[in-house]
Amino acid sequence: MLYSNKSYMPKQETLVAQKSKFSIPWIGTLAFYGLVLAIVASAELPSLQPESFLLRKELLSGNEGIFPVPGSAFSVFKPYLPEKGAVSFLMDSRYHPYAPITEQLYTAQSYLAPLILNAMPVEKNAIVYCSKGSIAGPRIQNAGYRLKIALADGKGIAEKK
Amino acid sequence: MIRLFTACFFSTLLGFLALSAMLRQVPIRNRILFFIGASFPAGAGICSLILFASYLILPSAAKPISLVLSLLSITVLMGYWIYQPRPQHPDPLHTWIRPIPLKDKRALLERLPACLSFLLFATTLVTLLQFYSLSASMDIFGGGDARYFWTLKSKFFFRSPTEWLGMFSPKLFWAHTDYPLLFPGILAWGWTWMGHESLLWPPLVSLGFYISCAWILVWYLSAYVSWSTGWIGGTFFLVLAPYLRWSIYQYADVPLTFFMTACGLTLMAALRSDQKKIFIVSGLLGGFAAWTKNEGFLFIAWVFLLLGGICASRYHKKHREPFRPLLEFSLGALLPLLAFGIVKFFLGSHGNYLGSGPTLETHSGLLFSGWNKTFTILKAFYAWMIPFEEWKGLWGFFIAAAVVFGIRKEKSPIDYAGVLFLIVVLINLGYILTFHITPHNLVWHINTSLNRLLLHSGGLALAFSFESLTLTRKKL
Repeated sequence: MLYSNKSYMPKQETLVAQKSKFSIPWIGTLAFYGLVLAIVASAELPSLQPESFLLRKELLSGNEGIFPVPGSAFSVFKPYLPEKGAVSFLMDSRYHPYAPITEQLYTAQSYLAPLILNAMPVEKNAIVYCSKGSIAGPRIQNAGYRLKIALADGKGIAEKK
Repeated sequence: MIRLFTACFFSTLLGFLALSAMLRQVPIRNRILFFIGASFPAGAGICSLILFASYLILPSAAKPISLVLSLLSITVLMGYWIYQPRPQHPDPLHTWIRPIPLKDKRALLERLPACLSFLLFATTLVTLLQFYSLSASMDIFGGGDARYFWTLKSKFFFRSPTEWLGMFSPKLFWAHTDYPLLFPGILAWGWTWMGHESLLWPPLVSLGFYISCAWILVWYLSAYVSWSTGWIGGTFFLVLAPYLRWSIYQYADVPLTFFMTACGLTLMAALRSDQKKIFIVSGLLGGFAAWTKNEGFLFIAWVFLLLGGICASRYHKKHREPFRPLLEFSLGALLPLLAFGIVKFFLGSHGNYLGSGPTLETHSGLLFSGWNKTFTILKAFYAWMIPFEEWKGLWGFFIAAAVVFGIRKEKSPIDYAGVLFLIVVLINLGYILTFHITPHNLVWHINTSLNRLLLHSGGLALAFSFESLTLTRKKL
């Protein structure tokens, strides 16, 4: 399987070489590589947390169960929700793309897919996921729902009036 | 673990066999390095297309169909690979494999820089693999976009095949419903192969794309500049913090970077050798860029524009078959672009940009709405390109390379290095224009996306910089 370099040489295979060493291009190239190597040598990796070693060991041994699944807090809603279709999702405030609270909706959607969570209060049923009951009450009322199943303070399933 | 290994192995094998079939009899330089760099990403792209086609054909049986089609493709391509005729022009074996007489001190000395730079690359790679495995274990579900957009789409594919169209529902207006599906597709394909939502598969896929970026740069620079340049260029890529960070976060920007870089570099190889099959491979990789993210479509549009210009120039020079490269590139990009078009215009037609709702008139009004916005965007580009801890001076090298390229005396008509420069400039020009028409708050949009957008052209900028700033030896 050893082929000589001479066995195949395309037409374009030409080498544009520098005529003499110690010319400006030669020094320029050397300086460029010196700079790149200095950059590589000075590069640092971010620090690691000590528990990462343990987590990697568990992961590689197939023990995926020790990693808490994002959105697993929404598992309590599952028995009361349809497997498919769409439900609305009521949070402390209305949906706004730049509001940090919106991450609750994203996390719930990721956990409950393929059920679709609608950020708008238009579906027949809604997941109520507010921080406390005193916020949930007005939110349910204003969105035109009534609480059907209470699961915790500020949390439950609501249905359209 | 065995299922994870086989998912990784078979997707890579499929990519290798497909590329091998496409590049049969083609004397592509440093062939083995090219396959090391491109096999896994190409396989991932093909697997995602197979999965998507299966869901279009029969959603209720999409999972078994996708697996059968994948295995069938591997079997057919394997047969083709085994029984294909021997190459008429075997490509030269790598210089570092050929034995050197130990007495030839000069030859040994000439190989020394290449050997040392290879050791540097290997050491950096091993160190990064160690770091990646530990970091990914701490953040196994990835960053926000990975959890809420990319993996979400994979869950629609995997959890309920008959409900897969839910991912395009306008009710999920915040989840980029019009985004193409290469990354979610390969995640869902792997889960289907393994039979469960493996936590290890997404970070492994992300790692595969990240490492492939480095290998494809090593391939190009070693093939067209020198072995030392290849290994050092690859090492420099590996120490760039943004690529490592976003691959740990499992964002689709690193796969997109791979496909843009690989498309651009294979296009250079195709232009320099005028080998039609390399144009097809370049088109396929460019098509996969469009199949990965909307930005990839913008990229391939620029490449079509550039290639069209080159072909027009060939026509004026009375070149035989002047438009053949454009046709071959288009042929390669056909299937991924078809999949992109189906998603964009039939399934997920609820996006923010052109083709998904707003009209050209709406966008043109936003585009020319004053210079303040333009200055803000340009200042943002400058601010995000400068930090040394992020880019290690890459964009400074790129500007220096452009100057050197502009003033250097020896230019060859087959060089085409200017194409790389133009692609990098056009990619970023496209993003500047896109920021002008953004429906989001401009500052918020810049802060959340610009660092990732700069990744896309970084690979090509690195290749151009190393090629232009290596002044002494240049293989054309």
